[in-house]
Amino acid sequence: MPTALELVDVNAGYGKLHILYDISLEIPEKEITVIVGPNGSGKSTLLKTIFGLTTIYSGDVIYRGVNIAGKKPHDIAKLGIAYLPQVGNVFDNLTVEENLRMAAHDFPKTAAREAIEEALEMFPVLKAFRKRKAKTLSGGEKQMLAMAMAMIRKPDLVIFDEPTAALAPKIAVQVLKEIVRLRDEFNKTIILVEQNAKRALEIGDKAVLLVSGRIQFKGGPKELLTHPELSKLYLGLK
Amino acid sequence: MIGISTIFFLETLAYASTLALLSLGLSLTYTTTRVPNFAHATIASIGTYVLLTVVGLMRLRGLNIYLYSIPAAFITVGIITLLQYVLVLKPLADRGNGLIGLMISTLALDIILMGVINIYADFLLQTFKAKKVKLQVRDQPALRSYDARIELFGQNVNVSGLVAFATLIAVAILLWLLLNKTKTGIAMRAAIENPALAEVLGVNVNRMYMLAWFLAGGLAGVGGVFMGMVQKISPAMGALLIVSVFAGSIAGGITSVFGSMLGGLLVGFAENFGPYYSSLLLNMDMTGYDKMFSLGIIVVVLLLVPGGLASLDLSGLKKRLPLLRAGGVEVSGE
Ligand SMILES: Nc1ncnc2c1ncn2[C@@H]1O[C@H](COP(=O)(O)OP(=O)(O)OP(=O)(O)O)[C@@H](O)[C@H]1O
Ligand SMILES: [Mg+2]
Repeated sequence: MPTALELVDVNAGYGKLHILYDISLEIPEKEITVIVGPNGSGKSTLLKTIFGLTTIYSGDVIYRGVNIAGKKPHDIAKLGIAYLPQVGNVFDNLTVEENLRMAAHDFPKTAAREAIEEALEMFPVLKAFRKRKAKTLSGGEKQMLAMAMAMIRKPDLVIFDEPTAALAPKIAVQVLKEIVRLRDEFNKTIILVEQNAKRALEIGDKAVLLVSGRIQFKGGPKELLTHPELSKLYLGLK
Repeated sequence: MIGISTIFFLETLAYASTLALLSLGLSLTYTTTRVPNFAHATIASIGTYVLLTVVGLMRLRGLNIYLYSIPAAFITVGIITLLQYVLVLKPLADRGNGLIGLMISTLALDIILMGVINIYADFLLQTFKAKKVKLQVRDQPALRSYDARIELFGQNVNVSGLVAFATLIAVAILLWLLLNKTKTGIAMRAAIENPALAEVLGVNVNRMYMLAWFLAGGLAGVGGVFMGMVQKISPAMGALLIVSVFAGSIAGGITSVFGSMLGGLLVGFAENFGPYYSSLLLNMDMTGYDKMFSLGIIVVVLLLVPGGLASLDLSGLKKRLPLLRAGGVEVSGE
């Protein structure tokens, strides 16, 4: 598989607070790359770094041959990358419909309407809630809305930060199924950060283990799951 | 009105509308940068000097005053406030300054602006002299007599109060339409609520904030025009007003633009009617105590509704109203 996104020796953090050290990583096209690691290891920071939401001290972030390190998030959003943050991934005080319109805010009118209808077809549960404020949705419904908002922008690369956190196991499985569907039916490239390493690695094509801001492992998900030390030390698996 | 003359009522209406225009702008800027702008009232008094300039140089009278000075003040003061954001607050915030630093910068700007207005007043005085315009630039009370007049309840009164209130209503409607019906407005609400997510969805959040600051400044400038039509004009008039503007915003729930507008109206009326009625009631002169009433309002509102007027949840009432009208309370579906 060709590479969609590549990080080369990236050092990044928040202001002067250095979090990520020498991150080099290739994200293959049309595959699910799963990033796992302990709390505070820098998983969210890594995703934010791709999207221009942190300070990059050195290194390159190359998307389809273009270095996007240092670009503003709103410009990166226009390149076909979508990012669903770990928290606050919908606008609580806007209605479901306004949230969707927001996601399509820079489209021409008819294109926006079509994109919104398509997104609603992908996530039909949302149709019943059009006029409701997002803060009144359940966790799972919010996650669907966030995914619909991301899909409206017709991205090639979708970045998920713990999309199943705080969801009931049954709904979490459903959300992960949707993510697999994005890869298989819609040919999206996906980066997925997950707390529940086992569940995520089972659907992933490539695994990355992040510990204290450094990459400890890159390779096949099976390999990581069955790794004698790493899986025990960092994933809580026996 | 009980014991209140039409003239006093209209002047109060002008004052309250002015406060409402300022309080809503203060909230609009506060929701973007989370910094209370202490220069907001002095910025409005720039609008007053735009009014004085336009009236003096164009020799305007009557409704023409509003026709020219409102757009001129809106644009001039809007641009100055935009510059405050772009040249002062944004660079300071980008360098990692916290709330205190940013707040002090607005106080500093307030002092600088007051100096600049004084210098401009001198310049204007020279210009007026040269052009033989009979207007003072400090302690100028005469603009009242230039106002258009109409017959209302058998009295011949200035229109400033009515124009101010009508302008406020028009502003409220336009702002509501902007924020709820246009792409830009929805993007602005999104940028205010969750800037990071808005950025991720391709909104240039900084540009939205620039627009918010421009609008807030422009509306303050319009408020300055009405201030100039009912009050004595002086470069320091903003300093007297800023407490009341904050009172309006805080009573309204500082993060709500429309709540702050209501708060501003409420404070404006309280500051004029409070001293008036209490003077009658206590049989002593209470005219110097107007700020006591605005601050009293903050206390009362925050005691009763800690989140400010805007946090009053009317949706529960709306749901219950039909049931009450039907005469019986049933268990609703939710
Ligand atoms: N906005 C921020 N400003 C400063 N430091 C931050 C910020 N966000 C995170 N950090 C710090 O960066 C480090 C990595 O945090 P990050 O959120 O990337 O971890 P994570 O791997 O996503 O953890 P979790 O599994 O809990 O989500 C932590 O020490 C955290 O305290
Ligand atoms: Mg995280």
